[in-house]
Amino acid sequence: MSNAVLSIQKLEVGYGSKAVVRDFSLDVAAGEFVSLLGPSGSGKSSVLRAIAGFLPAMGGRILLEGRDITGETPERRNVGIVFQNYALFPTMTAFENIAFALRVAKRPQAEVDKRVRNMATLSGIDEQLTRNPAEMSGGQQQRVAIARALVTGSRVLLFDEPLSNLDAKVRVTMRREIKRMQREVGFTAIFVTHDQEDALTMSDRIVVLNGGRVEQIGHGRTLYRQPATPFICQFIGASNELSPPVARRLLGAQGDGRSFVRLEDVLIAENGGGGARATVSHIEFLGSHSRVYMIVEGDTISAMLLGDDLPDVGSEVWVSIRPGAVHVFGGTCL
Amino acid sequence: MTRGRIERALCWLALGVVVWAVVSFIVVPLAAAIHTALFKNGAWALSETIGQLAASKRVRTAVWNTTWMTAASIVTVTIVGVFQIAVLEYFHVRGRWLLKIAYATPLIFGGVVAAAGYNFTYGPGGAVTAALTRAIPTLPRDWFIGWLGVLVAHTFLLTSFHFLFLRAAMHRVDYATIEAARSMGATELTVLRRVVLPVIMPTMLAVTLLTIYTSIASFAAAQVLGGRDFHMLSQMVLTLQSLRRPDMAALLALLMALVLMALILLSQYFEGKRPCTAGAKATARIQLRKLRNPLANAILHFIAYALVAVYLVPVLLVVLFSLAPASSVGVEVLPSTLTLKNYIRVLSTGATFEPFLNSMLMAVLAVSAALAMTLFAVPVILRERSWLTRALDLTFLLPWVVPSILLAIGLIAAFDLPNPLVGNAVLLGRYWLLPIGYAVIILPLTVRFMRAAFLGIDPAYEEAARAMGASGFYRFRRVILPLVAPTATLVAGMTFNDLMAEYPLSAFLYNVHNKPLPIAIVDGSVSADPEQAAISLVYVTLIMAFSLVVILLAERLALGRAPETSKI
Repeated sequence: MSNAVLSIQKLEVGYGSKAVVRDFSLDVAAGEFVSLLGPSGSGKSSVLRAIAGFLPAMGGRILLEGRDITGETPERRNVGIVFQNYALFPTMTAFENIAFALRVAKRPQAEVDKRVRNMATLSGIDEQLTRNPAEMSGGQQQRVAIARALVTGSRVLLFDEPLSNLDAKVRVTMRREIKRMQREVGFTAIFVTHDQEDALTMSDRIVVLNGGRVEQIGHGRTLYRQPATPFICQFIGASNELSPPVARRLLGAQGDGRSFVRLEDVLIAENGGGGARATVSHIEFLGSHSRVYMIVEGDTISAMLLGDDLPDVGSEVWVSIRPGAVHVFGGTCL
Repeated sequence: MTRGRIERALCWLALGVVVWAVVSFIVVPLAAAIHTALFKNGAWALSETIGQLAASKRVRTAVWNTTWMTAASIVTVTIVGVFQIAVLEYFHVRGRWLLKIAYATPLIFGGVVAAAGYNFTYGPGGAVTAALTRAIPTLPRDWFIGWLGVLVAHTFLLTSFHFLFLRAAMHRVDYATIEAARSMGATELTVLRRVVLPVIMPTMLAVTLLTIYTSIASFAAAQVLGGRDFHMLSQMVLTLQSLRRPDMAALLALLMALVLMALILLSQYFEGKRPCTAGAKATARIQLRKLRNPLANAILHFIAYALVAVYLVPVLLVVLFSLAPASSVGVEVLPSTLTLKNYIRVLSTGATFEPFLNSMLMAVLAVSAALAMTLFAVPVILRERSWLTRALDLTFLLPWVVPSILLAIGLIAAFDLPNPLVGNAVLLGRYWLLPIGYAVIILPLTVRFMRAAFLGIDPAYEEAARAMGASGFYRFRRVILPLVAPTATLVAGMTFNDLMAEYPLSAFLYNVHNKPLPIAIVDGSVSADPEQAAISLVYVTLIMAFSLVVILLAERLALGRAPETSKI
């Protein structure tokens, strides 16, 4: 990508002599929102810490606006970072927290005042500036942390699981707020999360990491609809992995690879109509929809059903798969 | 030179100063003490000195006194300490808040302060003695002085370990496990033996070892309450030193140190073995049990409140008599008139204020030095793991395992002649040796608390500051220092407080230039002059008041104290 503001090339990071991330390459365009998504231990935070300079790169290069920053100390990188627990200095007010970087740079008081207040307005914390972090809610602390990271004019902002300490409702609000601030300021965001909902709702692109390697990079919809690996299939959204007998029975052909099907692509009919006979083993009510578990050929598969028109537990139904909805890996396509 | 290079150069310079201080005032003195104990005129003299120690009847008596006093103290302290925990944390006793206050008094009324306080209460000039001799005219006025006084002081003062640590251990007992045992048919006794005791046992052993440690090292209690005939080992070391037998004093101190160090290591081992709550995420606090048998309940209450009296009477009498005219000390049971004359005299008269001023000044110097060293060295030790920082870390803790009297002997041995480490100066007999000693003995406590404070800081704070461009010194000054400031203030308060009443080191190292408060208190409390006694009472009350403020502050900051030794 030629207009990349951040370019990571064959990055290798680790602890001691053990590499936890290998061969990681990514170009991020200006103003792009990229999420690093993966389970615990996948290496997503290590990549972020390497970009910030807290973890030395064992190999590869990191370029920021064309400048090689691989060997730079964190102080000189001019990359903003928002931490999981916000890391607001508890001995300082919100104002002083936001002003910290400006004071380090010895900016005149008038400029500090102006920039901090502008940033507070942008983050919606005008009223909180005189408070200490302990006197603020999680959401307010989060806004201060973002304002603090943005105040120096860093064009790249790193977010290290910043929403994981918030309760569900505030989390949803903060997702929207971060996106709004990004639109208004135009910063480039690298957002680490293990929550696929965060990643799917906010990102222009998602990088899925597993065991220190990139599984797939793409828009959320692409990852969901065209998963590149079995891991993506299971990690993004929910899927049924069909055992060979069930695949044979439902799809009418035998593939020698691993077959996955999304829950919403499993169709249930009460009478005939093709597919296989199944027994409803139990049903989970999840509010907007229900998850129906069925036994087919001794294996369990599940389907997602909307509404309240559900089969009874123990009843027999006909199960089929929406045409073209099966993802097969490592074998002949069905 | 760039800013980073200047910072690095200053850092190395400061590290050099710390290493010099540690080598000069910890390592060399300890080596000097060991050398004095083992060599005489450059030749190996261990067996000769042991022979001389063994031949001395006074030394043999002191060893015997210390041994049996320690054995007796284990029994009495355990009985009183366990009883306290039982009425505070297991049985339901009315007025638990009062018991708690009374049983907590050894925290502010310990060491030389308590020894003087007991003497003012039960000693020849004490209010209780005045009352008793009115009732029993034949009772000698020094009835309390001797082994009895020392044993009583140990029994009621050494329970502070139980109060602090055994109570905390009881809080770790998950009440759900007791209920589970009961639901499976266990009796009261089985529950105690099979469920409660195994949880608190490691702490119980650690506390007992600390009791043994403190009893063996007991100094002020024996000095004030032991009288002319009952001497213990610490006093014997001081006597040998003043009789110009530093070899015998050093060897005796070294032998004591070996025993005490073994005890400390053992107590650490047991404390480290504390069982956890079996992985329970939420543990329920023990619910206090009410004794159903009315007679047993009445006896329990009677003993609990008798103990309250034992703890509170000396403290109240000391405070009351510090407000009484000097003429009433040792004559009246309760003062008939109250006055602030003693306080005015202490605070306004040069001679009586001097020990106070000396102690304050030396404590401020020592606390500042220890804190400055710690604030620099601890972050470096935590960040840079190398043989040098590891060695520094261990050396900082040395004065905690080595008893004060061995350190005192070492400081004397190292600095009684011109020493190149301090520019060929002779420090013995000068002002500086005692404040240096003070700084050394408070170093372990300072290091331990500050280490916990630094470790408690989320590394993200420093990373956030770095990401915003802050340099090393800037980060330390603006981010880290404000975070550890409350702990530093508290540690300063605690150590200042400890030093105002520090007896063992003071007894060895003080001179006319710096006579400190604890020495003045002991002098005053064994003096027959009521004016002296009244002044000592004011000293004791002021120290107690300051200790109380520090403890309340600590409680507010919710800082628990780890097991440590205290000297009485």
